[in-house]
Amino acid sequence: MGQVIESGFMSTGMTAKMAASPTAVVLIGLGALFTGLGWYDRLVKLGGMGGSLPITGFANAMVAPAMEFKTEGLVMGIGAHLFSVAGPVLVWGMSAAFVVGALRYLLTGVA
Amino acid sequence: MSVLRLATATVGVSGVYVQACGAVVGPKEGEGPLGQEFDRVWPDEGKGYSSFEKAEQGLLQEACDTALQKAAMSWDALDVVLGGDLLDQTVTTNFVGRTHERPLLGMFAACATFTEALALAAILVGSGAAATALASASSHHLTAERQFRFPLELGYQRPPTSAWTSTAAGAVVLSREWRAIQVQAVTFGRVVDIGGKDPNDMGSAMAPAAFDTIERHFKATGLKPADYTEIVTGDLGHFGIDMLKTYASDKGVQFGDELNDCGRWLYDAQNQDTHNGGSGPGCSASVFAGPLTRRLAAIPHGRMLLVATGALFSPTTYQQGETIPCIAHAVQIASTGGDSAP
Repeated sequence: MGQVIESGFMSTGMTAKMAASPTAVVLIGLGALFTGLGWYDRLVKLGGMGGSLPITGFANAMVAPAMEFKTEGLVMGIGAHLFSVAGPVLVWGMSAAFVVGALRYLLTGVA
Repeated sequence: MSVLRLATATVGVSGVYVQACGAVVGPKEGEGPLGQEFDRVWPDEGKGYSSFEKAEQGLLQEACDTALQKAAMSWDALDVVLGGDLLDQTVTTNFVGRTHERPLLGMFAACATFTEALALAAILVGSGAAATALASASSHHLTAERQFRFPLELGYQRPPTSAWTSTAAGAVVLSREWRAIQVQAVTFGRVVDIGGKDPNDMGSAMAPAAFDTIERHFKATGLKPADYTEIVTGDLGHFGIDMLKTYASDKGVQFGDELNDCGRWLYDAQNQDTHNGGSGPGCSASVFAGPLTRRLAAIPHGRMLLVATGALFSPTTYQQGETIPCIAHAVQIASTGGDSAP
């Protein structure tokens, strides 16, 4: 799926490196759209682990709680619960990045 | 005396009859093998309500209204209402209580709530403390998922042992007026915890609790599995019922074809993608109030034991690594030969 989109971007003259970012953007957009339409949970049933991985899975993890808690209002509903699924990924992803980055700087001296 | 202690928490009841039942279910339950046997099937999960919580209240209200209508009774004729649901602070039952304004005993035993309510209602009516009582339970797939698992639209993979919380509500009206089905005995369960930790495998966790209650009920009443037309557990599902059979045969009790499970019946396992089967308080309530009572009424000298099973955990206790305590309450009913089907 991602490969098809990436190849599409590359055919317009982008290099593989340049095509990576717009590919991710399209996948995230699709993930959010399909969640909003209520199709994403069925896609995961079909696609299995592929659908749960970050990129599209992340978009799904943001939109799903937003839809779920909209009955509790914009602030305490959507606002408070938006990161209820994606939050742990952000917290520990960034923490891990910080630790690894710090270790790399201390051990190799390269920032 | 028409209410008599037989053993610890097993009470013999006589002269208490099922006046009428109401069972209302969601669309997925309506497409299942029992779909034709419920009083009403909703076309969708929300039915135009502004939230799924309100939809669940509507579902319970319809089940109660249907039961009362069939019993040709008004709400005012009820002495007491007993019931519960899965939501925090049992809001479904309590908010419906705000509409009907009858004396209300809200209770919680997770998916075993229905038999807890029905058993207590039978004792109240049998003892004469109440002339009429309504016992009910409800659950809604979308409100329960949100409270217990993940947001609805989140795509994640469900293991084969996971249960599908049913969108269903059931209500039963009891009084001392002679009808086709009578309540004979009830047994209240104890909390049993064998150390199961996986909320996606509640069938296995609940099977020992179901067996404990069934075994105590047999001992107190002097009956054995073959004495029943039907022994039906609440929501052990495909895995749980096999666990129960294994567990029972280890302890010297052999179940035959009479043993079955509401959660196993509610959906078509091959085509409805419900994995272990149906669950939720509404599962046993609607299957009892719909198909089971109607079928039993048609069998002369039929006797049935309904054993609803509940897993008593909350999302907090599960995340804190606690094991899942379980409970099961049993109600024994029998056909009287009366021709007025509930």
